[in-house]
Amino acid sequence: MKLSTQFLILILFAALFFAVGYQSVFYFQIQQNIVDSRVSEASSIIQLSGNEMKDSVYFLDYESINLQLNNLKKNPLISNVLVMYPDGRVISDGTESNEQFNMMTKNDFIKTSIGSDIIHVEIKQNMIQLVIPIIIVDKIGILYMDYSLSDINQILMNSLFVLLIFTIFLSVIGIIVGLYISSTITKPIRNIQNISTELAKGNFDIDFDSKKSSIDEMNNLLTSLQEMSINMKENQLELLKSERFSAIGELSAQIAHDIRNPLSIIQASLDLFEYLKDDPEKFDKLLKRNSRAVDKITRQIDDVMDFIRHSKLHVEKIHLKEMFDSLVLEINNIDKIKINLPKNDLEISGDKGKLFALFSNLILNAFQAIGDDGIITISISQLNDAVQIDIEDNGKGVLEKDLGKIFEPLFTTKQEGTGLGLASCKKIVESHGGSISVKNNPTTFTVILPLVCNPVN
Amino acid sequence: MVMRKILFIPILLAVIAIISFSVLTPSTTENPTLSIVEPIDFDTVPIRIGTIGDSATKLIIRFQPTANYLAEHLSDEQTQYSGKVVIAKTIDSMITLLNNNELDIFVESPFTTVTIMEHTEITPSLIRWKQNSQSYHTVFLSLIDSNITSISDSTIETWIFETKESTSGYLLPLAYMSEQGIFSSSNGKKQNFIFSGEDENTPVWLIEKKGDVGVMSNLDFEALPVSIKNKLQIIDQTMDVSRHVVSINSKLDFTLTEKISEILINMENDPQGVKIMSDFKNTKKYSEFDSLEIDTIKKMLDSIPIGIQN
Repeated sequence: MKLSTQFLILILFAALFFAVGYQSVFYFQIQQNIVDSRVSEASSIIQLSGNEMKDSVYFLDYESINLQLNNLKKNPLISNVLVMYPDGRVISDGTESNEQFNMMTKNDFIKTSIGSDIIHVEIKQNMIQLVIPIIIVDKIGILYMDYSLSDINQILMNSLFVLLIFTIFLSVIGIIVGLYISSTITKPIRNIQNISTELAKGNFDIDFDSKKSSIDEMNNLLTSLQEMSINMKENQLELLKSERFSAIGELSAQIAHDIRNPLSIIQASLDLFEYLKDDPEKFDKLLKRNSRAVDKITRQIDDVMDFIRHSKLHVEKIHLKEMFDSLVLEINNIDKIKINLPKNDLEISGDKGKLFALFSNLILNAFQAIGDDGIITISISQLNDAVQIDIEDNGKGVLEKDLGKIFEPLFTTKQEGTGLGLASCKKIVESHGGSISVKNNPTTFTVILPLVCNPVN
Repeated sequence: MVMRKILFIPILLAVIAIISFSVLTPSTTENPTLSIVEPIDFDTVPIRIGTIGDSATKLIIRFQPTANYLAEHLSDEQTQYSGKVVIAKTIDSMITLLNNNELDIFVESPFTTVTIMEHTEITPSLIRWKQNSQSYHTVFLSLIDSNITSISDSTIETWIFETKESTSGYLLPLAYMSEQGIFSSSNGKKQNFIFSGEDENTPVWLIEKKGDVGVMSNLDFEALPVSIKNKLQIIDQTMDVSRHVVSINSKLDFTLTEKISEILINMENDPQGVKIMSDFKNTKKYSEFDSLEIDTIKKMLDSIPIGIQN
C-alpha cells in the first residue's frame, strides 16, 4: 500500500475516532451539566418555596398553601408538589379537592426522606424528586416536588447536532491537513524514487537541488544519493575507459595475430626473390603468393575500419529482390552451393551500400558454414511496418553456448577472422532501427528492418 | 508491519476513550444523604411562650431564646422543661390556645392583652422593656408646613393608622381621639381611616399627602431619619402605656408562675439573660406590671364608639 494511502487511512481513523469519542464524551458531559443545572435550579426553588411556606404551614393556612403550590405548578417543569406533616401525612396537594389530604404517601423516596432534616434529591429517568423539611426551630412540615427532565433529550439532540456539525468541520479540516502533510512527506519520497530509477537507467545528470524539500531527513537522503550519483558516474567513466583500453588491446592483439602470418609470408618471399629471379615460373608463383598475403592484410584492415568508422546513412529506396539478385550474381561462383532467392519483392528505404555489405557478409558466413556442398535459402516477408529477411543454411549451425556472443565484437570461431564481421552486421541493422538474431535447426539469421528507415545515431 | 502500526494507533485511542468515558460518565442517581434526626425528648415538660403575629417564622426565632432560657432555669432535678414558642395569627386563635391550656406565657401589647383578658384567664404580671423603654405613647403627626396643629382641627379628613391590631398605631390613638371627643364633635362629618400596614410607611404617606394626620409610637418617630422627621410636626400625643406586657396563664401552677416572673425579672442580672434580652428587640429588662393600667386601658377601649374600633 502506498505511504500516502496509509497516511490517509490513519488520518481518517483518527478523524473518525475523534468524531465518535468527542461526541460521546461531550454527550455525557452536556447531559451531566444539564442535569446538574436542573438539580441546582430545582433545589433553589424548593428551598425558597419551603422558606416562604413556613408561616402558611405553621398556621395551616390552606388558602395560602394552595396559592403557593399553584404558583409553583405554573412552572412547566414542576409536575407534582405536596406539602406534608412531618410524619408524612399530606396537608395539601395544591388542588381544590385535595384528595390526598391526611393520607400517608406511598412514594418510597418520600418515605425514606421524611426522617431527615436536610434536602434530599433523587434523579430518576425523566425526573428529579426533591424533599425538603419545613423547619421553624422544629420540623413543622415537608415539601415534596417533582421536577421534570423530559425536555433535556431535545436539548441534548440540539447540542449534539451543533456538535456533529462542529466535528464534521473539524474532521474535514483534519483530512485536508492530513492530505497536505501526506503530500509533504510523500512528495520527497517520490522524488527520491524517481532519482533512483534514473540512476538505475544510468542517467546521472539529475538536478538534485530542485528536488529538495522541507524535511531535513529527506534532504540528507537526497545528499547521499547525489554523492552516490557522482561516485557512480566517475566509476562508470573509469570502467568505460578501462573497457576501451581492454578492447583496443584485444583488437590490437587480434590484428597483430592476423597480419603476422601474411607478413611472414611476405618476409620469406622477399628472401626468395633473389634466388628465384632466374626461374620465372617460380618467381611468378611467389609473386602471387605475396599478392594474396597483401590482400589478406588489406581485408583485415578494411574489416576493422568498417567496424570503427562512423558514417552517415545514405538513405534511398531499395528493392530487396533486385539487391539479392545482384548480390548473388557477384558472389555465387561455387556450383555445388544452391541459393534459393525470394520470389516476391519489397521496397524499403535504407543505405544501399551498407545493406549490401550486411547481406553479403551474412551470405558469405553461410557459405563458410555449409562448406563445399549445401543450400542457402533467402526469404522475405512483410510485418506491419517492417520487413523480415531470413537467411537459412543447412550447415552445422552455431554452438549453443556461442549463440549469445555471436554478435559481440572480436568474437570468432574461425581460424582466420577479425571477429568484427557479425558485430558490423549488427551495427548496420541497428543504425537502420532494426534488429538481428540467430537460431539453430536450421541455422537462420533473421534481420528485421523498418519499411521506412529512421537512422539511429 | 506498517499497517499494524497504523491499526495500533486507533486501538490505543479507543482504549484511552473507553477509560476516559468510564471516568467521565456520571452516575444518574444521587443517593440521598440521610441524617439522624434527634429524637424528641418525651420526658421534658414544655414551657410555652407565645404572641400574636402574621410571621410565625420571625416571631418564633425571636422568642425561642427566651423560651429556652426560661426552660433551662425552671428545670431542676425533678422536672426538665423545654422551651416552645407558639404563635397565633389572630386574637381569636390566641384566646382558643389559652383557653385550651396550650400556652403558658403570653406576651403582647397592653391593649391586646386587655382584649384577650376579657375572654381568658390570664394575669398580666410583668412589663417587657421592649426597645429599652418601659412605656411609650402615640404621637399625632402632620406636615410641618400644614395648618393642622391640633387633632381637633376641623379640616382633618383622613387619618393614617398602621394596622387595626397595632396598639400605638391604632387602638391607643383611637381611644385618645375618642376621649378628646373627635368622633362626637365631627358634626356628622365622616372621618376617613387609612392603614399604611407598617409604621415606617405612615410618615411617608403623610409626606405624600395621602392623609392629613398620621399616628405612630414616639419610639418609632424618634428613630425616623432626620430628613423625614424635619418635614413633620407633632400636634398631639396620648398617655403613656406599658411597652409590652407579659401575662401568665392563670391555670399554671402558682409556684411555677412565681418562678417564671422571678427568672424574667432576674435576667438583667445574668449576662446570658442580658444577651438574650438584647437580641429580643432590645429588651432592657422585665419589671413588675401595675395592674391599675388594665383598668385605664379598659376605660379607653370602652370609650371607642362601637362601629369604629372594628
